[in-house]
Amino acid sequence: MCSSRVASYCLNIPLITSKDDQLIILPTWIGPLAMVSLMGSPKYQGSNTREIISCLWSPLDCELTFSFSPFVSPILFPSASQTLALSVSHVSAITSSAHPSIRALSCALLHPNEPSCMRTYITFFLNAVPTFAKFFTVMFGLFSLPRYKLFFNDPVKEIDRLAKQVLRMTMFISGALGTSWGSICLFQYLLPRTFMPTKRWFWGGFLGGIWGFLERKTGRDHFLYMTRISIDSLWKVGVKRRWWRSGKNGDVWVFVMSLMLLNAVYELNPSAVTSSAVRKTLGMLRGEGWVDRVKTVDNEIDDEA
Amino acid sequence: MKKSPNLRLSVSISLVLLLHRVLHRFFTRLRANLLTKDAAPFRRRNPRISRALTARLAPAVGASLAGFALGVYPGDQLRLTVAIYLATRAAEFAYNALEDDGWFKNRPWWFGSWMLMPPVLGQLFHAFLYDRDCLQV
Repeated sequence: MCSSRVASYCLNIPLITSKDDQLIILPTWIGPLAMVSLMGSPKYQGSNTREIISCLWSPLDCELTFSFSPFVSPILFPSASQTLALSVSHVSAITSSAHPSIRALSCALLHPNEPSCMRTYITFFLNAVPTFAKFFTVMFGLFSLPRYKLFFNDPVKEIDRLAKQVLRMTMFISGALGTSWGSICLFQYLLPRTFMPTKRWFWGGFLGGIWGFLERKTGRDHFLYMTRISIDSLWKVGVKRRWWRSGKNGDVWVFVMSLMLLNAVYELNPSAVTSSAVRKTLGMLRGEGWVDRVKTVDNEIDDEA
Repeated sequence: MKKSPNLRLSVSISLVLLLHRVLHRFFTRLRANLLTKDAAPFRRRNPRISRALTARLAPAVGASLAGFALGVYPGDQLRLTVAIYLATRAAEFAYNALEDDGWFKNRPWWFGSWMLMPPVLGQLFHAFLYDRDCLQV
């Protein structure tokens, strides 16, 4: 109980560095489900959304190629006895009233009311950008409250900086989500059915990740946070699929090696350890006390104040 | 003790802290003693060991052996999270140190940590669809 709570705290911890109020948000990977509900179809807001999605793309529950099969509209062919394979028949609630000119089954599931994939993609952005912009304005606004003095000194510059931060993050998140899910339709259109049926989801996410370019200057903490989640899930996927064995105390060895590297870096170049909290922790570990050996600009300002 | 993970957590963290400080002090004093004039015969007789123990990084690396005290805590999600966190932080600071030393002087303007995002989001998207139980959602 305690360990899982502490673990989730570790994943949710916001990091505020001393030079900029960069922070770690995105406590859970809510993205894809948020995207699906943002599509606007009321049928998605049921509790069986996850089962639908996992059934369509899971090779364990049903045959994979069903998601790439052509869509036969029961509206156009009412006399056809069975337009959906039996194992996916529970999604007929969505697909039976889908637009008849939709070509593929996955498109019928993702955007049943809109025959054009491109229009769905653009509509997603039109819906998502204001929503995320509002969310991030509140979030970044709250986190810049401790720096209210700067707002009094130079309001235009600070508001400009805050606005750019909000916009960059909004475009990154909405772009990543939209492109990842839109790539399903894109690959359906471009690639033949049997080409890379499972790997294409990785490349879809890859395309979405390119939006990270927008945050290249300020986003390192966010990127590292997502990388940690990814390493964690990759490890578990590897254990599940038997790519590697789950060793008994491998994480302790990783901990020791990382601590060695950290101590070595701190010894040779203390200012390379850019987090003041980590420097102070290392000072504690060495018996120097909760002190920061490195004088940075912010430390000097703090000392003068 | 084996039954209470909370107790094992506190014992583990305290042991890491204690052993790190003890080992750091031990290796620092050992290094200082080995560098005195009186220790010259020992240094002559055991060149490799004395080179290892008088290296500048010897106390730092030796003190890190205290990390094995993390093994006191049972091997569950928290230990995995801590290990991954420390590994990525150490790699980030090592990258900063190499950058300060000028190893990445000639990188192109578009090179950066954002390049982590495409494979990361690809893996997360794939895992979201196929291996939902491996994601901490």
